[in-house]
Amino acid sequence: MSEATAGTETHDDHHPSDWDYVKIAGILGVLTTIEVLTYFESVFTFFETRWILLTTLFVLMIVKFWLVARMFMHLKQDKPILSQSFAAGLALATTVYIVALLAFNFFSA
Amino acid sequence: MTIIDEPLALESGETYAEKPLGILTRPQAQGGWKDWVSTVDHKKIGIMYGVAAMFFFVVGGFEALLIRTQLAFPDQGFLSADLYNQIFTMHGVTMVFLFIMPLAAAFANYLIPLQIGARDVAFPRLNALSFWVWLSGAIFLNTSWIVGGGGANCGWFCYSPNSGIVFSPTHGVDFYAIGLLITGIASLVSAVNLIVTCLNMRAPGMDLMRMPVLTWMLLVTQFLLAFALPVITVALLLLLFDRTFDSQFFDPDAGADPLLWQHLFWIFGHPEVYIIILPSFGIISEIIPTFSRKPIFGYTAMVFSGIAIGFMGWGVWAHHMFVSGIGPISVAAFSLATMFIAVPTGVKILNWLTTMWGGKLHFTTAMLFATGTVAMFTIGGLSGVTHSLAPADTQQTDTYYIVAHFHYVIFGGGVLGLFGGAYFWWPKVFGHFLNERRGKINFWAMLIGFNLTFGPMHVLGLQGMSRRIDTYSAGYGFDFWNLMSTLGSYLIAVSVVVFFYNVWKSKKEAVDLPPPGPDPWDARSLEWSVPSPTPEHNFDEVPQVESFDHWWFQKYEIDDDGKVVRIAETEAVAQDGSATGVHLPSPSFWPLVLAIGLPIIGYGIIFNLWLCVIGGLLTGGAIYAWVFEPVDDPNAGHGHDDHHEDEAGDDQLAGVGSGSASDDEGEG
Amino acid sequence: MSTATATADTHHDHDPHATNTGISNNKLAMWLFLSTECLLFGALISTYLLYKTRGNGGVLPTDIFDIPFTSVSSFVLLMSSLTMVLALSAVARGEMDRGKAWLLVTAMLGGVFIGGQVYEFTSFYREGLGYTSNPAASAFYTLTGFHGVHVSLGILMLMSLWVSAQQGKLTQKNSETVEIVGLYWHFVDIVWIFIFTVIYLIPPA
Repeated sequence: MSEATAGTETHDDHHPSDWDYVKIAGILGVLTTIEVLTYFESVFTFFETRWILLTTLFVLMIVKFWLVARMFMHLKQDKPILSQSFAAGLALATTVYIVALLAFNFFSA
Repeated sequence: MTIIDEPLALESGETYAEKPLGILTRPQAQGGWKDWVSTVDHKKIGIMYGVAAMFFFVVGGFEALLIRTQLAFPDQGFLSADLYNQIFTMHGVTMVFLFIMPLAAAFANYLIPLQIGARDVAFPRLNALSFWVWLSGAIFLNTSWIVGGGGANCGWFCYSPNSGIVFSPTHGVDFYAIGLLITGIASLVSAVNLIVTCLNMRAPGMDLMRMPVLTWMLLVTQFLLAFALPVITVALLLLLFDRTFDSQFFDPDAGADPLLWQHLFWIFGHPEVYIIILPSFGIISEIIPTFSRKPIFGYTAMVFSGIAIGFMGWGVWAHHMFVSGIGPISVAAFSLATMFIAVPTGVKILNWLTTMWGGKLHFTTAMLFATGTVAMFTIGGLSGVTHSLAPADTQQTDTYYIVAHFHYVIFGGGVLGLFGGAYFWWPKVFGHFLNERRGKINFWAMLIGFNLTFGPMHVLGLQGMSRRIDTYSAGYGFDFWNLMSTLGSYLIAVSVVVFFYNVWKSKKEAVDLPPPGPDPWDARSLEWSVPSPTPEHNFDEVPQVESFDHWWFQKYEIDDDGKVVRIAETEAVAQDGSATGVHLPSPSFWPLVLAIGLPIIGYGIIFNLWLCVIGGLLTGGAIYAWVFEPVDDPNAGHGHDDHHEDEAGDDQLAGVGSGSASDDEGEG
Repeated sequence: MSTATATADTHHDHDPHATNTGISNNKLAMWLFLSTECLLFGALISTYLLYKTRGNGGVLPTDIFDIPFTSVSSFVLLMSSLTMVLALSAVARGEMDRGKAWLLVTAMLGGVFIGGQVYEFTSFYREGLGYTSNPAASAFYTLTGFHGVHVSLGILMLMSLWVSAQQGKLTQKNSETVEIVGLYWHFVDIVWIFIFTVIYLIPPA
């Protein structure tokens, strides 16, 4: 496996440069800042509307999640089977636990 | 970090090959018990799983006989109510976690590498770890009889608040929780290991859709294990924290919801049912084509129905909870899902029958067990469908009807198949047959005993006899069928004695019999192309696979008229096991040391936290020692062979990833 | 050194190190392990969500969250993912000194996060939220505590890598080991991304 896979890391054509990583981290920082600003309701008053707040927070969360998984964890460059196996666990967990919470009437409460 | 500062005490006759960090020793024993405790050979690990599982089968069977003896006649006081509770709980836990799962693991360990044409699993040391951790958890669980004030007494699914400190004041439930956590770590490690093996270690040409059905079913099982075990891990930890640290997860008085346990348990518990049954499905999918002299009917349908069962198994858990008040919408949804899951199972039954249809059937003991599995599982499956009808299920819940149903599925579908597998692969594993005549006595005694034990429970259940009740009064119409059931259970015990006698006697007789040769059954998959018993290096040359049933097509071809023609004698195309100098993974003691640390932590949580420090240091030290031990001992004697399959890299740090994985699982 | 795909494809039949998927066993195992961890954290998060309003008359975690403080420690953990990936890319290029420095920085940022968690737990305890106070408290401490244990194990692994690099055992050749530890580290980070939003930021209805 030394050749076959250790080689991946040295092959820079497909890999972001350090500067790319810093840029991604910058985006993540900005997104986190927006997230935190929703807490200070005086900054953006429209976040008092709950559905806007929830949508914003979830979208930001998913984007951050996606960026880290795709870029920092290299799912973008790696073989699809890794993305697939991780997605399987993630999707299974999400579905099963949402159904379980539904059974507790969690979302209608 | 490492606390083991001197070599493990080994007696003479061994050389220490390598001492990285100056603290590690590497066993190089050939033969003897040290060979077994340090082995990383998937075949030896498989055999150890099998032996240990059969030991716990006897333990669990003994508990079953106690239960049936108590219930043979009305109003008996053979067991106290409290002891009865402990015994039926430990019977269930033992049979599920300490017998069927490890016996399936035995088949998985032994056969997956052979069936895909590999020299070993992906992580041989993690494989050894799985076995030792499982064994230490199993022993830990059973020590509660001695030091825990009795076994767990809350039933195998241990519903809260019954499992709380108020209703279960002894340490039995603590042992249950920690014991299952430890065995869970073992299964999780093993699942990841075997999945990687199936995905990464296949011989050239062995595409996924050329893998034997058994390997496929075992692969699905490993996925189910990998995803289901974290759920029960969380449930058990919450229970343990409630009991040990007074957290408030299941205390209704504090506003907690005991249903949380039921959901978490059954989100794990229903996939667990398929974890139990799918290996057996795989086994009989190998046996039936072999003794029908036909390829398996609908290979693709077989594989995909197995995968479908694996998926759908996640969507039906709440059918165990129809009477717990989960609401009409949930009940309706889970009812429907449960009815649907019968479809892929039906596909499998159809395919086994059509495989046999028109075949030249040869009823060896293995084939008898396989056919018995199909028949008994069908009965269990049908009574299962009756549970999917929520109104009927409301009547059946917590009656003996349920007990009848799940024993038809687990014993009839699972255990019979595993016994069939034992008769089928015995010559491959041990190099001699199990006697067929005694085998048939074994089969018929087991089949009749099984039906006599569990058949009447359908009646008892529908008459309203409640499960888990320690006795019953005369005059309810329960007397006759309970007595029949007890007699049946004794007959099962007789059949198991016949099996053990057969094992012992057949080995004795084998010296006078001709060896079985590589392929005694004229079978279809790759493990039959190597000598019996399997040589340590499995394959002299890694096979180049060209089709499904590759081994069969080495021996036969289908001519223009569609007739099967033999093209080569088995001996001419089989490997002779003569390869030398094959590079094999080196043995290691660290899996065993790590495994010993875990139950010490367990005792520590229950009795004295200082023990946790000792256990933790042992485990942590073993992990570190392991990580810095090279996977392949550079000093081990071996030549260079172009065909060796490397398992986990040849650099010193290769173990970090895997070591750290087990590290986390220790917490999870 | 050739590229992964080329090696895997052309030498599939005779390269003894090639795997069927072209992914090393270690890396595939780590990814599988991480996907099973989704189920583990999912169960803990669901438990907290179910119980978050069940205070049994006492203090609820949501009553006493210190969002500005947690935001800072979340940001620290997020940035540790950056330093982790920089460590990997340095090791992969063979710049071991730089790689070691980034590994150390990553571990330190992880340590700051853990320190923050210890501080948070202590101050919550002073405000009357004990582990056994109510279901919400038990669920909160168990969830975040579990995450903390994962971070701590990650720090342990990072320090082990640093020590091996110091001893010269970790070189450019084994950069995949750094990558695998990195995967674990990023995973712990994305779990926190989820926890931070769902547990901390979404205010009680």
